Amino acid sequence: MTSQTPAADDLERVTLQSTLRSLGRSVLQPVVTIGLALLFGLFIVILIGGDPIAAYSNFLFGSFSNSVNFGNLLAKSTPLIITGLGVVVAFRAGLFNIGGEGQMYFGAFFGALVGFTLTGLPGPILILAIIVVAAIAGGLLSALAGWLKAYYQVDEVVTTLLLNYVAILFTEYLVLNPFQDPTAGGPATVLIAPQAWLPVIVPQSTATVGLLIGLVLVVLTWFLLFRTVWGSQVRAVGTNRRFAETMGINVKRTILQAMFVSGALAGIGGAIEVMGVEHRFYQGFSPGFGFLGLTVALLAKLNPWGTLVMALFYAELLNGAAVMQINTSVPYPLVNLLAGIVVLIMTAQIQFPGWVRRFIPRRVEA
Amino acid sequence: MNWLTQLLDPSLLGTLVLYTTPILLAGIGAAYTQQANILNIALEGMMLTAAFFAIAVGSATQSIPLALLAAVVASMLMAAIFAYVSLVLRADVIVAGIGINLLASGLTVFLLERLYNNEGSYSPFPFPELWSLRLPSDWSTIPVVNIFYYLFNDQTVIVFLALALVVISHIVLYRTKLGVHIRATGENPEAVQAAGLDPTRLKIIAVIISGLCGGLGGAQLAMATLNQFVRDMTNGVGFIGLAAEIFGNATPVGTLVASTIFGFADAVADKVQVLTTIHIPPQLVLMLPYIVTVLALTFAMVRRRRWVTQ
Repeated sequence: MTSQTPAADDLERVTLQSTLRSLGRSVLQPVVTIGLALLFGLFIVILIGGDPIAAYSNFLFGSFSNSVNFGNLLAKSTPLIITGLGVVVAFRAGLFNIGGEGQMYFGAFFGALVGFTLTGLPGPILILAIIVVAAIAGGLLSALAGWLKAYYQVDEVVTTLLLNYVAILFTEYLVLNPFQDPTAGGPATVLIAPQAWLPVIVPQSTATVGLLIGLVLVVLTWFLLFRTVWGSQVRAVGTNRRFAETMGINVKRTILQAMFVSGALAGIGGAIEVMGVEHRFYQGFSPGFGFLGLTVALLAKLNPWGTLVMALFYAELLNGAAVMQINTSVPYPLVNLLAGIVVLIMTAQIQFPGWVRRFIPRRVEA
Repeated sequence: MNWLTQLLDPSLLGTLVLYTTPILLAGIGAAYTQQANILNIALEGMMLTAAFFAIAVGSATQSIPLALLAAVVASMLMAAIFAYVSLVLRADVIVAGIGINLLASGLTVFLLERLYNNEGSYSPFPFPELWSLRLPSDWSTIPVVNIFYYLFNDQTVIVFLALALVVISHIVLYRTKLGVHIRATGENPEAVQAAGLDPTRLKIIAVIISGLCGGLGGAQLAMATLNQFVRDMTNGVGFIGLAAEIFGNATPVGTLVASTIFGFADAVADKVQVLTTIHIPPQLVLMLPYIVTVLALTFAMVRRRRWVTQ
């Protein structure tokens, strides 16, 4: 398949030099973005009269002070990796699935439902069943928006945003009415069967084999997007829908499928949280992982491997912000503030001054 | 049918106006940007920022004009950032909108924690009362006039500003040079450029106007009833306003009609929660406005497509 985009032209001349250059190009922008955002954060810390050195050493290195903190970093990165991958799949298809949060809630609830209903199943099979059901639940919610987009041209941005509220309210209804654990004293279901609890990999932390599942999903997503015919079709639809159509790709079906896979990943992210952290569905389990996954995927320039790296980095910030709040006067939500700034800077096409530009390889139009 | 009479209590009209107003303001703002061909999801963040600054400045100064001014200015500043990043620095409009919404949510929570040591909400007391219309209570007994009474008694000044904005925006968009230019920018930016105008500048103006509308909407959310700010209190009102504008074909009058439908879903959801004769779980009721909005959008697109293919 030939393509008219300059990026594809570049790919034809793969040399060591060009590989290094493109690596430098893809790494530079996120690094510059993060640097600018952190500088901005530093400015805010100084503005509110905090101790910038103490705050930032906690913020950036707090996660590495001991193995428990490091384990918690790994634990926080897990849902970010998986929801980030969901965003990668949809955005690669040119679809703005901003409903990751709601899809995650759906996956978490219906995964938990399997976990505390089919208690007779052996561990590995039960875990697999939970993951499959969570994927279907999240995938169907997302595919609903995909279906409206593909067949009725209803904008997926607005529908996925609105379906977030529907999904979160619906799971809240389920967990407070038919499925509430009366002894939990809050919006939570009963515990799932213990054989489905994911084993902890760093003692005393919440890091579980869920992280390994996340790694497997990174490989799978990369393979699916870049090494299969389906993946090339998804990317073709994302690059130029009309061109994809003339190439004979069924665009409508591809949109539907890409949205399903995207939502399925978000749903799995929810199920891993259920099996790894709370061992039950508990309303409010996510501090906005679906939206943070969006930040992570954008920082990773929609690359599955990059998503892994950026999720780890972002988890460090989330974790470090908690340490920072304990040790200094700078409040935790600083990290929420930086999330917005990162997203804004990341996609802006900043014109660097000439002396900086000399060091930046030629920009490739997306 | 006892519950039905309880639901269709005349006070439903007032609740309808209360819920419709922020949606309408977001919708009018989104109509300007849509006419300039920008899908403005950043309205949610603009409204949230406005709501926060209305409460923060209102409580600090005990002045309603300053609270309103702060809300509108804060929202317009967010709009300016949105315009700068998406139009000058050419970021993707949707992604920039997501960025603004994350920024607004993060900024307000950060300030909430920093200024008031509370990460959930802030309800200052005393707080100045937002100007509202007081009609003589015997109007409620006069036929026909009582409809007006139930709709508008005790409603804030922002409600009437919003209604005025429907008329003003219709005139601006369809009867002034600026409006013609904005609409031309959306339809054919090359032609606008060829005519010697700057399409980017016109788009920026549209975004800033949407910030003004969003600011009023945010102020209404914060000060119409409870005078409080709650973390992420906009709860998708900006998105619903955007949907209302799409449903209303980006015209101010169409947006008013759509906003009233969505506001009605909100008002019914609000009323059903306090019904005493039948109990419906509140979460299911609260889902109603969002589901109605998705259905309405689908309906609008199906209708539009039929119309195009005929």
